[in-house]
Amino acid sequence: MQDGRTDKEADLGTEDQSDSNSELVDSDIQQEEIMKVNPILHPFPDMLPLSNKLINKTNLKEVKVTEPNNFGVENIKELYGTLAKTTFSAIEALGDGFQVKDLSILIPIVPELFSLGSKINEAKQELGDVITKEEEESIIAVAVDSMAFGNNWDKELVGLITKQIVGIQQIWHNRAMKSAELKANLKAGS
Amino acid sequence: MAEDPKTAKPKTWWKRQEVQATVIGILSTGVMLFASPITVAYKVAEIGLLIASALGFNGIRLGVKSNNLSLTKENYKL
Repeated sequence: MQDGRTDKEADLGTEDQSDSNSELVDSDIQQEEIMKVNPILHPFPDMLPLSNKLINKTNLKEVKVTEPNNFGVENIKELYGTLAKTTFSAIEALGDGFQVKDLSILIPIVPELFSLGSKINEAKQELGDVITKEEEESIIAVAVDSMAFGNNWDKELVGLITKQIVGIQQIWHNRAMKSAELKANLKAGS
Repeated sequence: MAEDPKTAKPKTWWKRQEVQATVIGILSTGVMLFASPITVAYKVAEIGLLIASALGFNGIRLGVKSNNLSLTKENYKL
């Protein structure tokens, strides 16, 4: 390291051959051996990856998805709409201090929640698929319609939150695709 | 349903929306500083910032209406 060579180069034997006449002094060999054993004398090769975990954002790369859109978003829309309606009603029903003030708002939603059970499996398939811009906008429209907002600001907020959730779904989908690709490669290799 | 803002009593500090917004905002900003922009944590933090903005705005609006926004022990029930 001190001579401008990395450890890998030293291990691979890629020493500078130009000064072949120069021989390693005993003190240099001792220094190399000590450095291999004692990690304190090797601050940077071991320390940099640890610090990079916090500040280096270039390790992860975005995966471009080229899969076709096999499923729609009908079940996702129903699920998300009901969840949005439930959240809105819960905010309306719960007063300050998280105490139920008006139970009559919550009661009509209970049957809708039970009916969603059969749609979860289909929604999972749809979540594993690509969601296009048009589908995203239709999901936002369903969420906004199910929440009876009085002003446009809240509608904008719901739209922005929904866009972030769709972004999370895309990351999830990309990771699933990547892991499937890795598994296929492993099988092909074995 | 909601209490009249002009007669609303001051709430305990952790029930106040501006305090909740500050906590969520600080946590979300911290996550966004250290996480990569294409991770789930970063996206969740972005949602957290949106919610914090809405909560903070609403909390300050209510505080201005009921005139209990100043940082005193009585207003925040410390």
